Amino acid sequence: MPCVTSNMRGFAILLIAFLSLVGIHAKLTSSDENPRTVAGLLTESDPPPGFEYALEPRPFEFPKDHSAHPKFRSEWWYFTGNVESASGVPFGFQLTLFRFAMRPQSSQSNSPWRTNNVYLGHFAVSDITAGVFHNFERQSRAVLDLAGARGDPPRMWIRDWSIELIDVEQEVWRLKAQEADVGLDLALSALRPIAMQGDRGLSKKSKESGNASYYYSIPRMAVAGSISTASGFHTVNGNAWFDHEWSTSALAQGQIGWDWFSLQLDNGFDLMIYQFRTENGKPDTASHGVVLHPDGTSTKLSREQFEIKAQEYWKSPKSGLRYPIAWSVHIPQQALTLNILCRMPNQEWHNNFRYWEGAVDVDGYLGENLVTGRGYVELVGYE
Amino acid sequence: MAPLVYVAFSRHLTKHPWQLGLALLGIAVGVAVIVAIRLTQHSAFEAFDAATRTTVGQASHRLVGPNGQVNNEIYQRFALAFPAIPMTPVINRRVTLPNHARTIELLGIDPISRTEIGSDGRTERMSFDPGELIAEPYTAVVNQTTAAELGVQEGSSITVRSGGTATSLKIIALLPQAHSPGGIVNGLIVVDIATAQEVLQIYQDIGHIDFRIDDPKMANQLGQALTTDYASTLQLIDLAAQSLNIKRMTAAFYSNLNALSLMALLVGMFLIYNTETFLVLQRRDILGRLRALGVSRRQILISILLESSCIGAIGSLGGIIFGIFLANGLLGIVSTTINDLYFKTSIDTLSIAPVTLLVSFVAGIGATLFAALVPAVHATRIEPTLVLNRNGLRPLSIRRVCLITGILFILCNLLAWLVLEYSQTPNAGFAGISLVVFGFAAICPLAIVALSAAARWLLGSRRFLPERHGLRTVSVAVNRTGTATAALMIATAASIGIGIMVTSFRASVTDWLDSALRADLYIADAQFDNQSEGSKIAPEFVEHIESLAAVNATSTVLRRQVTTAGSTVRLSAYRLNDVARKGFSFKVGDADSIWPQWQDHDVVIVTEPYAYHQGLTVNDDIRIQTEAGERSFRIIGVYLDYASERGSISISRSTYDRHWQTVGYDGIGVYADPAVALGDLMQAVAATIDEDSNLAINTATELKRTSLEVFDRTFLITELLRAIAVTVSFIGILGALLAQQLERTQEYGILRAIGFTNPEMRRTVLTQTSLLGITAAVIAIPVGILMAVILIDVINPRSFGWTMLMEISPALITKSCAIALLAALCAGFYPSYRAARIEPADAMRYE
Repeated sequence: MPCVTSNMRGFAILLIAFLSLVGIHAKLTSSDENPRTVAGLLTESDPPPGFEYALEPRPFEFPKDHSAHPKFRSEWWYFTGNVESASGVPFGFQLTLFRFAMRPQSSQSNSPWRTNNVYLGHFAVSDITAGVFHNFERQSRAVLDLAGARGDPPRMWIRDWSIELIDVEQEVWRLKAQEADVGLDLALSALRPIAMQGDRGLSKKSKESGNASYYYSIPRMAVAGSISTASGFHTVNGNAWFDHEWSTSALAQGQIGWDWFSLQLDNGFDLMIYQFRTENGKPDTASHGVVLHPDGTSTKLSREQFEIKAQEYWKSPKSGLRYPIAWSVHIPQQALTLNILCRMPNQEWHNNFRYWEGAVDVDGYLGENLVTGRGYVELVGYE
Repeated sequence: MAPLVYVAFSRHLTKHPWQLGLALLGIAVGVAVIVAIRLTQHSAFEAFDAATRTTVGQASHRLVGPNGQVNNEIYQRFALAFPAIPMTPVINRRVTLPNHARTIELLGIDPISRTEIGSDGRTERMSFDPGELIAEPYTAVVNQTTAAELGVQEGSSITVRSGGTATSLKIIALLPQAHSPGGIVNGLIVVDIATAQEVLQIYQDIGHIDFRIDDPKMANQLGQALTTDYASTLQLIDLAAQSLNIKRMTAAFYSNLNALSLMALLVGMFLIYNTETFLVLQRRDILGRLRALGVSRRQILISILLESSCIGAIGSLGGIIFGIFLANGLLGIVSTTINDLYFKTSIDTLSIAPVTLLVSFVAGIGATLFAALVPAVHATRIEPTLVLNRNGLRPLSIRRVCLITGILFILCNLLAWLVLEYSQTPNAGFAGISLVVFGFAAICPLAIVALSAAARWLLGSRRFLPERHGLRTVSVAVNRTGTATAALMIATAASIGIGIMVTSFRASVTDWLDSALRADLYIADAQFDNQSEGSKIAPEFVEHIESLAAVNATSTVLRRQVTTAGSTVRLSAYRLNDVARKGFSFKVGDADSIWPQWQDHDVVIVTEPYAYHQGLTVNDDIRIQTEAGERSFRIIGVYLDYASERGSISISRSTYDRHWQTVGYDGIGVYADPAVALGDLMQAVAATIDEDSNLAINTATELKRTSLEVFDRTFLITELLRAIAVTVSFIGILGALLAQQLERTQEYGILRAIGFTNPEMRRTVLTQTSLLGITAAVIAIPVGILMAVILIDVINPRSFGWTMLMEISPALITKSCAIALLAALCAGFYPSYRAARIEPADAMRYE
């Protein structure tokens, strides 16, 4: 079976965030036959004609493909990671930039404000010692250098939040973001080669042709830099995960949300699994995973090959939503049993789009051996 | 025992329904007027806030440029220098709708950054696809009302024109009204910022930048960056403060109306007092019997107060319902006035404020209880006796009444003088008026006694026996008749006072218009309004006009908003000829010294309201944002101007040109060759104007007429409320007098028994009520004039900064007094008819 989709997350967040922040949300919530579900949102928005679709596997060319693909409707760059200061102060971080094209082309105009692209940014720092989740959202049209993507070297930005490939040879990225007294300035070096998701980077979302994305990840990156919060400036080190995905159409039907896990184990294994939750409470067939071995090989996992069980829940005082915050994951084929626990419960985004994206701790067994690790979990569609 | 009291009371009330009705009416009208004024004010503010929400969103500050424009680059620099401050670009201009022969406001926004401004859960929801608005050029949204007005549907197009270029905009969605979620105000086309630039053909500039700054430190930082990097050519305006300012402006307008509504409640209280007094009086036998049956004083007091609360509650409830209807009727008038004077907003929905209704309800009951307190206490003093004592309520001696009222009169007026002398606010002025009114109301009994004595002296002959008798009884019963007379006096005085104020105001405005409108013709953009900058008249056009044979001279004006001390004000740049200069009459400063400096120095003249509000006078300097930064200008004159209560600044065009670069004019005054008829001049000028231009030609007479129309519209609501309050007061007072007369049945019986004929009986009664009417009218004249003096010399300058000459119209006074007399006479007719028909035996049965 061709490896269907891996990561729906950026897609839905991007779409939901954009659509909801600028209003389709209102239309959806007011209509009874189309309640605000992921499926509802994704099927709601048929792309205007003229966009390119992800139909076939394509050759990827780096560093060019790190930058934007404006012929596709949507695209995102997604960095999450766990870091620690020299004195052991732990942080989780997330920096995501989304691009969304409202039309395939921008019309000719003398107005410098005329554009078809808008950018959305999510920036979060989880101050685990203090239990504080700093999260910020920005959005901007891609005009007047306020937001955009550049090709050579790849650089994506919204005002002073930026993601830039600073060393093409060594695959070193620099992330910068600052808002109020929270900031990060990190250098991320790839510890693994770029991993193509799905079929040579073509990640199918359903059986229909075109409902797919181009998608690759760098599953493990070494992080070095600084994080600052109100409590001070911290020199930090750790691990991060990078996803880049672009597409025009993404359909998900009968799904109410998903749980997505990206885990980096101390023994060199990296793991990405996700499950779509359906209305009947069962994981959807599109749920999948991948285990990346220390030797560079990888094993894809189908829905039947892993099991995720929520063990503990947390109710958000802000939104009133109830999220799982501890899980047990069992992958018999790999002899892998993991317990995943959030590093702090309050990592909920409650801006225009509500979701939980947070740093987690991992421990468990690989065969007989004790393993530990860190990672990030994303929970979407909990109502 | 208590139920017995209630049964006795309620039976009495149902037997005297007209008395009950009178009490209810009194309180209902007072409450209704308060409710109506409050609700219209509330609705106006709601409409204003809705308009602000549409144009400002959640922004807290606004960055404006010297020409009403900010360069794209400035936006970019600020966005990158202050990346964490939510900001959004806005273009707000009027454009012409050539197919509808009107203008409409074009609002260009960036839906993306605008959402940032409105985050934190306060996001405005847009019920359409913003992607289409942003990415499809020439798309627009309007609200349903505007769409209906313009005859457009979703999907259809509308042509707008700006600067000679017509653009067709496709309407992609019809949004709800401003008061609904995601709605926008009427008379607005919303487009994307890029479309706005394309329509207006201003590609380098946006109108202004809106910020949401939650942290005052950030505002300071931004302000500092402005002064250091932009040589103060840009100004940061605190929108909250500005909107508060605008609301405060309208507060002056409403303070007049609120005072009027309080007056209505005051009259209502007099009516309640009167009614309650009579209810107690009429029931003294019942009360006496109840006391004999063992009902305690406390129970009687509670019962009467409970009864008044019920009357107050029912009356207030009726007043609230009537008030809502009244407010609905007044809304149109208020809307027009607010639009004429303060801000452009269509106030089309009455928004009911529950708090207002509750407060009015409580005020109604409170006023009723307060008015009923004295009669209620009187009622408790009734001795338990079965002997029917007609003089159950022992009247105070006339001497004591005179003493008390005299002291009250002096005290109130002294206090009024102190309040007026040592206060600055318009509200203190109203307090002063209330005190004067109260003081004069107090001497009504005294005046009745005095007038009665004087009249008896005049009518010394035996032939006037019935009249003399009537006069004497009125004067003896003065503690009863005094209240009704005072109420009649207050209503009459209010009528006179407000009437004089409005007449004087109008006369001053007329004089000013006569003096200021010196040119024969005025040419201006027909769509020009105070809040936006219209397209300019080209200098070539003025030259062309001047070259016409029929034209002797021209004067020009250019109007714009400038920023001074953090707020915006209208600046008019005039090129004036000698005739036009005579149109300015200076309150401070001397024309002979002003005009020589006018052209070549950095000097300005300001209007009287501006000087008043800003606390400025001649030789003070004001700092104005010019294109080259903040510049200082010396005030050399303060001139009379009723055009705007916010006031404005005027400057010579040559001074203007030294600091700003603007081509063209907003208005031209055309001065005819004396030999040319106005009609010919009109024709000659009209021939020069393009058919599809917006320019309109007006004669001075026409402009004067339009201005006075605005004036009359402004005071229409005042007049209307005055009419309502006064009319109903008269009806109420008429009822009160009627009640008093009916009380006298027994007395009339005696008169009949001692040989008074029917006509003589009528004469007695009519003399009595006439005396009350005359007393009310006689006192109302000085009170009314005093009220006018306070309104004109204290309240108007304090509210608006306008001074005006008082003009007392004898016709107005005569009319008001005549109505008072008529009311009093009317009150006499029915009782006199009854008195004449009374059977002496029946009437004296208990004697």
